[in-house]
Amino acid sequence: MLSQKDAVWRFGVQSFRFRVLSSILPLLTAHCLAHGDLHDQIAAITAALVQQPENRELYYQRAELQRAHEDYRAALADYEKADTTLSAVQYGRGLAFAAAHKDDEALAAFTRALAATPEHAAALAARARIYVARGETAAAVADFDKAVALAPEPDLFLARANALATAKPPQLEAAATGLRAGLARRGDIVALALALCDIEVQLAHFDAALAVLDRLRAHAQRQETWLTRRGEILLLAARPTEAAAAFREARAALDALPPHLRSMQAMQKLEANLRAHLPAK
Amino acid sequence: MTHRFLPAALLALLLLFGVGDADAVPDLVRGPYLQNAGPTRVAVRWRTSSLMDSRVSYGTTAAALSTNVDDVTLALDHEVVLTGLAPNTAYFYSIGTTTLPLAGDASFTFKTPPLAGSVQPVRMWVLGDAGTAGTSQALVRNGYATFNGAQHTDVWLMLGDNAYNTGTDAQYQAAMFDMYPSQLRSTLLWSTIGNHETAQSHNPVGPVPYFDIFTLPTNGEGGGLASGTEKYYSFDYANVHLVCLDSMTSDKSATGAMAQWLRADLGNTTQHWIVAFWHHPPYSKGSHNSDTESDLVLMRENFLPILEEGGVDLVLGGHSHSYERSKLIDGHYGLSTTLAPSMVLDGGSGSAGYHKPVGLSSNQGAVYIVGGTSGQTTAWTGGSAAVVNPTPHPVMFTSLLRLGSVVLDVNGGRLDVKFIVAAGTVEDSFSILKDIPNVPPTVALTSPAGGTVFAEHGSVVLAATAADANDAIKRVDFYAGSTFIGSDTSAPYTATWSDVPLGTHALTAMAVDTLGANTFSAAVNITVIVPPPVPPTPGAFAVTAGNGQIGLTWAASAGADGYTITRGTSASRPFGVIATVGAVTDYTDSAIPLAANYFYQVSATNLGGSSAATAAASARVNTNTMAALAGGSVSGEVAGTVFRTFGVPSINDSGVLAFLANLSTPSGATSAVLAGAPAVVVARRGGTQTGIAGATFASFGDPLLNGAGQVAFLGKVSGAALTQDEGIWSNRSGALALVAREGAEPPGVSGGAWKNFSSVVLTNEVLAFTASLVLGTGGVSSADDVGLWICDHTSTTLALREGQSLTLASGVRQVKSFIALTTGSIGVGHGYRPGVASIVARVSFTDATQSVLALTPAGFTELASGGGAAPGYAAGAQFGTFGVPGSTASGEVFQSTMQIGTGDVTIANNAAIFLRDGAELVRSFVKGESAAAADVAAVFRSFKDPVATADRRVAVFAFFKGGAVTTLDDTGIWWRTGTSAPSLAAREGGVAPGAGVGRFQSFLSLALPEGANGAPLFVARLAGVLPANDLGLWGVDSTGATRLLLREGQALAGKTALSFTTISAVGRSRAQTRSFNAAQQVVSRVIFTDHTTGIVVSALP
Repeated sequence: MLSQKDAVWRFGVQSFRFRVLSSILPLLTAHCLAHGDLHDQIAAITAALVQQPENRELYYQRAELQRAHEDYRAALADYEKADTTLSAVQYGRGLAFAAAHKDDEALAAFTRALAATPEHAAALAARARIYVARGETAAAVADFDKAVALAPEPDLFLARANALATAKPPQLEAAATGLRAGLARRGDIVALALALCDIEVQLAHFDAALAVLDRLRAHAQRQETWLTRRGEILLLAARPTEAAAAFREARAALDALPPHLRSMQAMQKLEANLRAHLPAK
Repeated sequence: MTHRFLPAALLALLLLFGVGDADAVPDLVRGPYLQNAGPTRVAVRWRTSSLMDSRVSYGTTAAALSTNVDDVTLALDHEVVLTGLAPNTAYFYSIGTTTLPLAGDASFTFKTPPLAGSVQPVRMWVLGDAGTAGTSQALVRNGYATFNGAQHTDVWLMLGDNAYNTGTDAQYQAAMFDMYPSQLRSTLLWSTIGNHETAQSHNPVGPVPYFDIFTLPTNGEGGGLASGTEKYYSFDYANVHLVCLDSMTSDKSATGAMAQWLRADLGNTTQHWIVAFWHHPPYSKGSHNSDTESDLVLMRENFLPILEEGGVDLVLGGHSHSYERSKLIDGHYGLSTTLAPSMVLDGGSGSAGYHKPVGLSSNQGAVYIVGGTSGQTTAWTGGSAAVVNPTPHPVMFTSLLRLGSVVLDVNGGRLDVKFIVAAGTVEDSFSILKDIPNVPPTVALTSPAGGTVFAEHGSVVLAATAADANDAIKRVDFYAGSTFIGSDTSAPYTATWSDVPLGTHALTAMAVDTLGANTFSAAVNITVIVPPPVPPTPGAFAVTAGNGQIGLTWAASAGADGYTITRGTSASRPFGVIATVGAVTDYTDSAIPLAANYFYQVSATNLGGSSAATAAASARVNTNTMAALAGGSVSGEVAGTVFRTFGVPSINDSGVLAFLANLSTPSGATSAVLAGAPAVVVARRGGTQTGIAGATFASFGDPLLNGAGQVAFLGKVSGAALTQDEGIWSNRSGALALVAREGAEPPGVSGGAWKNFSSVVLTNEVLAFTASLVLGTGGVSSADDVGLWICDHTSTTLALREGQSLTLASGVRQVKSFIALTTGSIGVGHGYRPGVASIVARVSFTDATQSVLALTPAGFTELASGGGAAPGYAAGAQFGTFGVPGSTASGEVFQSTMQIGTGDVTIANNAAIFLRDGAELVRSFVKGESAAAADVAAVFRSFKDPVATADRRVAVFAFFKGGAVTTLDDTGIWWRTGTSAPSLAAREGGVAPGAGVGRFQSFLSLALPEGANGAPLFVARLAGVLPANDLGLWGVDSTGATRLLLREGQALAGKTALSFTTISAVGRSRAQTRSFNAAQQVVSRVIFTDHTTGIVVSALP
């Protein structure tokens, strides 16, 4: 299996952030190293800017800290004084605009970042989310596709699928295809598998849904939740006999749990769900 | 073997200085360190200065590292995964190349995790924000070493910010590999990512050294559900399930991949404990504020609900460079200002243990720790650098700025947590104990009753009671045999079984408690049959008004096994069911709050259903009886004689009335005294009389009436001198006779002469009266011109006189004045004992003392004296002064103001009511006593005019204070029997029963009839209503309920009451008549809006 560091972080993009942060390290004293010391870090850079007022890297540095501090207005002011031809600066601007709910400006900034660095996976993902918010599903999916190719993060596969599944009209087949690809790429990620299972059910691909579910079951030491879901899918598939069998298995698995686990809220809900499907004991 | 990413800086070095080969002697740059462990596996990692192949040699003794695992791939960063290991087993190992050992001695050892679920001692070491690579970090490391000694550390957790400032490989070398070399080669280490691992970026662009340095679970290698990512994961160690979340780079939404994985992972574990850890703490007022920083807020809002429902016990975070430790809390997901007391399940220190149910349980509380001081401390939110946070987060029990680390010791159902400071000492500690066993609930099916028969296709309502000793009822399920009927989650627990089938059915209820235990009730058998035909509507339905009740009768309906009775206040309004009865043909409705018209219907029922209801029939409840009415004929008089107006009437215990009336006769108007049942004329104006020769009656006072129906009255005659024209007449000895007369010589006052009579009473035994004497006659002066005489059937005796010298227990005293045969301003008692020739009097002496005396024709008995000993108080307590006394059939009642400073008498208790019952004098109400019926904090303040009965019932108008009592509601009518808790019959400002929106405003009179059901009767003025109907008469019925008897504005016999006179007004006349009796009847004179009058007898049902 592809390891995460191989899959996620092999960008070929030089980390501008690490480079500039390393340059400012000597400015920071030992007591101002943490996020809680953002004020101190910002103050240190501000002091450095008094000495080096033309140092655009310092403005970028301070902009990043202002954004981390969730002061987007100050961050954007500093980004404007940084070297705006740099992809990292535009990416930071885009994130600040997005956090400030200025989608048009964010979109433009991400586009400029990507113009400078087309394989900027994070910028692609961020721009895709803006497209989703604007209802531009095709553009979003295009960016997501490029992003997951560069950084196959589960959240990106999930976001891509959600964009397609909630599009008007829904593009369920495309969503399922992306999730299958994600599962093939990253293994049985629970969130991806559950999403795919739901979409397969919507597509009436019940056997496919059951296959996804059974792969999850194979990893699980407790079966009651997955068996109940299996029964529900089988009911939707108009296979009541198999559904009843699944519910009975789920009930047996639930009954086999020690009382304290049966008392958990999730199990209480499951038990109520099973009661709706099964005759009482 | 996994190839690790080669850091760019190292690659550059290699390019500059050349690449080594397998035969060179490499330097060990970092490690070894132990990663991604499971019960049968562990990954050993290290770094060399040149490219080399890899070998790990291991064995269970240091001297026999007999097993080799090789990887021939040349690498700088080496990772060799050892598999097939034995769980819970110590191994020794060395590292090197396939040809050359690099490092390994007895300190190169690790212990594999035990199998999940194992119960054994486990020690965990937790470092947060450690990576300063300086003295502080080393101090914390050394502090733990001092504390831990030689004990093996099973689990090592790092909470992020492991290497400042941007988590570069070089920073990790300094802050981790150079800082903890011995710990790294012998302790299994897991970490979570902090903000300094990504240089503050939530979406880092480019390689993050953290992910290269650590090998973390992605596929459930150590237990737990596969997450597919090293960013968040879980693993098991013994009976602990550890969950690592990513609060920095992953989607923190409740629907993101991490949240979905977490739900599935928690639903997959069977472990005893859940410990979760991530970098950004959900609660902190340290160098980070969990109310304002979105990373902290999102983790709290979106992940805590999942974790707490999943049973989390302990949550560890860093980020703030402080140690903050919460109480046992649950359900707090908002800002710190929203913490509610109900969210703090145990606000104590936990030093004796926070107790939780055995095993995992949802929402039974967790402790949250910020442990970010393993490398530095930073000031609190707000800027304070005090050791103890002056403004801590409200969930926290402890908030400290001290360098340190956290130690967890788990053993079975016990988790001990300690905060170890740099000196190696414990600065904070608590325990969580999973020791609350679950006691199953109890449940009983309360409806239907066993053996009940129901109709096929009908409905059966099941009801159950359930309780749980140690937690709460989650729900109650109802079953018929094995068929599930329904479920209810709150009391009263009910379910309806519809369309019931034929047959006999065993009904049960199953209670489930919040900890999962369940109990079935005993079965109740019912039978369901084919229903019979619906019965016909009952015939001959009739209603009859009674005294305080309405009777209903009907003819039996064929096939009916019961009847349903409905009632409404008008024929057109919906009727409500007031009763369902069996196969009977009558019913009495006695629960009627007010005299008004009520409408009734009856329908017959059986299993087949209900018949149509009868036509509505109505009646007006009759609590008031018109005994005499203007215009009504007069018994025993010539035809055409009718009543015109009435005086104030009396009633005796037999219901006999006596009253004065103006009559209209064919020969003209007159007035007369009437008595009897029916009332007949006893004396009439112009009528002859005995005792004053030649004179005829001219006028009368209101007559007195005794239990035998005999009367006495004050009268004036015409035909006599003005100073001799008034006398007292009575028929107590048969014929009407003169008892006393103005101008006559009073017994006991030789040469004296009566002048005015007052306060006359009549009992079966005596006729008593007070009178003044003509000054100068018989030597009478203003100091001795008033006396009290008691007349039995044979003679009249002077019982008491002003100026008289009395020999009391305390000595001889001279009477200055006395009060007898009268009432107080509110309490309408009577100053004579029925059945006994005894009159009670309060006597004031010339030396300013007072006594209460019982007077008889034979002498007096001293009941109480100022300065005398009082019961109920501590020894030495002395009576002071006394109020107007009253009598009962067995003694007397009076109020005394006690002498402060005697016994235990203080200003707080210096008033009380005393009751003599036979020979015993007891204390009843006392000032300062609880008046809890008004307010739990209220106490009595003062009393006025107590009234009492022979069986030690006492009623009194009282003031009270305390609690929420105000001057608008601080008076009321109270009563009690013996020493029972005082009951409040009515209260100023209280709702007046039967008077709509009216509320009691003031109380005008109070009486307490003798008799088994004797309870207060009182007249009160209302607020909140019109003046035309603001006066009413109430009584307390046999159930203790206060009920309206008579009210201004009330309709009576087609008329409307304008005003009425009863109880108190009678007491203010010279004749001490009684308007109530032992049967709780009250007689009143009522003036109607048409200006006619009548005599009304009211009765409590």
